[in-house]
Amino acid sequence: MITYIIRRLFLMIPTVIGISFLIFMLVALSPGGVGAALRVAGGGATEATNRAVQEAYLEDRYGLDAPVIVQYVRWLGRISPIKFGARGQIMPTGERVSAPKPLAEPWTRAWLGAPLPAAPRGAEPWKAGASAEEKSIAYARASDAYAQDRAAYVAARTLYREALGPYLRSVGLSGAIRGNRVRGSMLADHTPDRASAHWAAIEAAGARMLTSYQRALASRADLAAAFAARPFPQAGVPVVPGVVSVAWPDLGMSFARGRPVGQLIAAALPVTIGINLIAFPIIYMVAIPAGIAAANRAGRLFDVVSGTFFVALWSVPTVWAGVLAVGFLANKDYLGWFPVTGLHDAGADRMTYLPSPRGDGTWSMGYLVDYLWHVCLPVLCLVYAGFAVLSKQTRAAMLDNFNADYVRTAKAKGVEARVILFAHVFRNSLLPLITMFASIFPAMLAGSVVVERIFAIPGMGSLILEAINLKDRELILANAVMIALVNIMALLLADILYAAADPRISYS
Amino acid sequence: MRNRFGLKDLVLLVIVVATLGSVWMSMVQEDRRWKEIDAVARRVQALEQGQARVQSTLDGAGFGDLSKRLGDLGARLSDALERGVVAAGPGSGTSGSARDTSWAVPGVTIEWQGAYVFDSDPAAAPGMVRGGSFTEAFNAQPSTIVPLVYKDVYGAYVFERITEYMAEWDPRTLKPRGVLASAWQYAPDGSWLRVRLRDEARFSDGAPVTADDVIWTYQWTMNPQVQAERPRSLLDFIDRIDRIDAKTVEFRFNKVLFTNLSAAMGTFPILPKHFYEKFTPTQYNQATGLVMGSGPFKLAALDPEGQWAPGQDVRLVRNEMYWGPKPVYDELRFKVVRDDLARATAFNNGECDLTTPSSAQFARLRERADWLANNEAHMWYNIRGGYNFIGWNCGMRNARPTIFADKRVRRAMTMLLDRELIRDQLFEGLARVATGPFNQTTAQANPEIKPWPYDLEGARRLLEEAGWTLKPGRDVRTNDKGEELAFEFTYSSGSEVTEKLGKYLKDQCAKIGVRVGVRVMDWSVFMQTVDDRDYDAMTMGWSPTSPESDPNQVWHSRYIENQGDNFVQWANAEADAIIESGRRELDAEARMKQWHRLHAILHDEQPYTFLVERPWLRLVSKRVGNFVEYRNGFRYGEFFMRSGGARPVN
Repeated sequence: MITYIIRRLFLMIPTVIGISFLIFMLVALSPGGVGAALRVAGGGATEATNRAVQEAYLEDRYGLDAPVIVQYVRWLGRISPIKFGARGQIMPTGERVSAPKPLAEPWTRAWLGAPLPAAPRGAEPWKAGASAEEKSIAYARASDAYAQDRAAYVAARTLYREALGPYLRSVGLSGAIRGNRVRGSMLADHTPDRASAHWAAIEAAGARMLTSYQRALASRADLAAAFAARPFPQAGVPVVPGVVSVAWPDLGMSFARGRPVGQLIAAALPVTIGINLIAFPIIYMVAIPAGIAAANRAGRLFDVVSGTFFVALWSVPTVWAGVLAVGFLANKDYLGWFPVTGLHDAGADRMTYLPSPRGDGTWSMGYLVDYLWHVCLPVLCLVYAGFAVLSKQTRAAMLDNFNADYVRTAKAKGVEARVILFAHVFRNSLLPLITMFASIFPAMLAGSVVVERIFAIPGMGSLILEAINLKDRELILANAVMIALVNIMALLLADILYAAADPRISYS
Repeated sequence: MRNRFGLKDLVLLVIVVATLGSVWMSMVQEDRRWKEIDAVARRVQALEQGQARVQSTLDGAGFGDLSKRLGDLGARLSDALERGVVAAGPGSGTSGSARDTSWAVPGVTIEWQGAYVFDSDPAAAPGMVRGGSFTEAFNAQPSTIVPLVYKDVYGAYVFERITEYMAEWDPRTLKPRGVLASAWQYAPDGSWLRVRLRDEARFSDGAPVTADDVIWTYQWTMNPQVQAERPRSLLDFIDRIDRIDAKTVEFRFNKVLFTNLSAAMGTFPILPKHFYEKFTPTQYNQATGLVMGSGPFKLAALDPEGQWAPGQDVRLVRNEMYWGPKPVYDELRFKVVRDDLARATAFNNGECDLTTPSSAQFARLRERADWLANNEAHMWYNIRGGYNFIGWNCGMRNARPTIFADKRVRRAMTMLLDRELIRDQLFEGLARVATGPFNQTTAQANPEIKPWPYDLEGARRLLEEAGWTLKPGRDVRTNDKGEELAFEFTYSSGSEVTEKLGKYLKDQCAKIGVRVGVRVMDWSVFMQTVDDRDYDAMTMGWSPTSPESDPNQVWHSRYIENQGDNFVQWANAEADAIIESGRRELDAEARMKQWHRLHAILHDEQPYTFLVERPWLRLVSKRVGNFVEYRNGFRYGEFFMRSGGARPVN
């Protein structure tokens, strides 16, 4: 059994890599590309050259200027708990820093003459015996300087690309500029025409680019030296010192919201789980007894009525039901029994947890009751459609067993009907229900887009939908990988439960 | 086999009961602690209010001024005693109350700003009540409310209540007026601007607003590690900011533009250096509710460890230390309800006091007398209302000119569309027909220009003139080369209005022999297509942010290249010249003449078919008093709340 579980767990790794690769490629190759979110977020009234610089800067920040495969490998490296190379360090603020990013080469350097000096050596970041605070300040200063110089270099490089544009068009090589990149391979054989009218502009922009490149190289070297001197405690646990270490996966930053993906999920997940923890037990507690009762009275009035009723409920679209619920149950012009939206009352953050008397003799609902009252309508919309499938499954499984020989034997022995029903038939009907559970459980984490939108619930459904709309790659990937993991785990759990429920099944 | 209640079960039962009991007791304990904290918080608030009252009494008595005057008097007395003569005060002897000009550059006019007061004083409104809470429901979730790094207009709505700019648009004259600035000097050649901050301006923790805060905020915005791309890109006209003295800064500009004055003082809110300095750029970028400023409201709980996060209501309380006109109600709340119907229901149920409805809801509700008894429907045009248009690609697509390269075809298209019908059917009549890119509320629009009439016959004539004729037996016009008059209409999915517009355009074109294909795409793909100029016709909207928009980036031919915003690829030498000289013209009247001329050219050329200008629509509960429509929106600080404001049923 144990070996089986371990084997299954190891098989998860290639599955997750496959899923994430597929999704990564889907996002990267979809029209509009990953930059969509940046474009939408950046918007506004900016001048065109400004916008090009800004886009180049954002692409540089998120590493979108590298080939897609490289981006994917980088992402895998971040998300993998096993890290290679130098370990990151944890700043006192809790922020993880890693070695400074390498600088991209300037474009068509050969055209500009002026060979660059050898890569500079970083200055000594601090004197021996500096205090932790001095080190931290010196590191922050070096990091600021590199960020400034790198941004200046990216801007200068973009302006150089724009200066190249008219010239390349005039010599029929306009294809060498693709988006924000200059394709050096296309220009390798081209001998530049220095007599061209555009050359002066190219030379000036090129000189500026090279100066800013040198400056960025120097400050990068300084920062690298500061990083190598280890101003902060290191992250993770080393396995082979300096080569392999184990650390928490880093889910990356959401492009559209500028916050760590981990934080966003941590905020949305409890909301969804909280609602589903109420909804799912209700589904099970209604559907399974109804299924049992229907099987027990198969073909009679209760069976027909409950079956029809559940299927009718199942056929009502959630959008419609939600709108009706808001329009009639929440609208004060009609019943107005429930609040329209949100999870808490406006004053909930000042409520006590339990219902308590106010000074004037009235009762305050308290946080708990207030929450339950607010989730009534969302939970209603989540549960009503779930009854049909589960109760029908239960009924079918029970009926299969009712006709089995051992039931007839038990009846002949004179065993009580109640005991037959629960101890024999129901126990043996559990297997299909376990299968159902494996498919329903991941849905608990995914949340419902429709319900969350209508009732203004900030859960996983709206998080994922928004991520997809904005092509927020890190957020989509993190969600997809998480749901994939939960799915696989649920399947594994179902297999283990099979063995527990049915002695005939074993995995040795 | 019978289940019997054994010892094991008893132990289990005891454990379960004990656990439940202890959970219950810890809840009760937590509640007691919570009540204690609540009482302390209330006491702190009362203390704060008391302190603020004392402060304002002191301000009112003018003690600060008095001690300065006493000091002056003392200095003059001792001066006189030393010289042994009685010195008369210079001038008329009122030098004590004359304004301090030691900060200014001599010889340059000082633009003194009046006291910062209400435009419509709630205290003067009939039935004014103090206290209460105001709630607005937003249509979308702001992902952060932190200034500079905010992502959407809702984030800005929130932090603009908490922080203040140096200047804002005067809602009546639409000219810049000082908020934190008490005066400024603008160089006659437009190369620098010296700004004096108000002596009384304070942040919500009581610290004064100083030149260092201005300079720090500017440097913070320009720091590439701070994700403030949007304001940063708008500030490229500033060369540097110098500190003149503790209350005075000087901006140095690297180009002379008419927008410099307002953009320098109105692009970034002034943030307290002493508060924000503690945070690293990364902490600032990832913050969701780290807002502190000098405005009339402050966050109810400004706690860097437990910040406001998306999904919660934003709760602001009155800044008791506010230096300017203090709101009369206590609390300002923002909640988010994305679904249109749910939002309207929440409004009807009294869960919010103000919200933005859909056009259809607005049109329906304002007809209902029973609804109007308790609520108001406000619709007004202001400088932030944008316009919708259809853009015709006037340049090349795939290295071939489109059919819209000819201005007669463009004008025919405009005359083909009944814009009044579009207004009434697509926008529920809640809009007005646009005449050009400039907002008709402002002086920038040329009042003489009337929209082209709806005239099918005229459109036919124009197409004939342009060489597109309808051969007998065919239903699509062709030119002499045999090419069909056909184009593709591109729009982004998700809006019912644009969908209907597409159908209408197709129908109308069919009437006069033009074939239209429709291409619908996702917003990001749509933007890519537009940037690549790979379309014939498209529709979109622009929203201005200031009463005088700079036509440069949309209409200058320079912005055809490099994916600029002149995506219709419209090039006109005269327009280019007007834009260039107009932007450099610092005299408002002369500039308006230029814009009027540009407006006329655009009207003649029709690179866009200007459809409608949109007003602001707001549903306001009658609980809100003193809601005034201004030409730049409305002022939250001026409301008062009858009967306490929105309260959910409880």
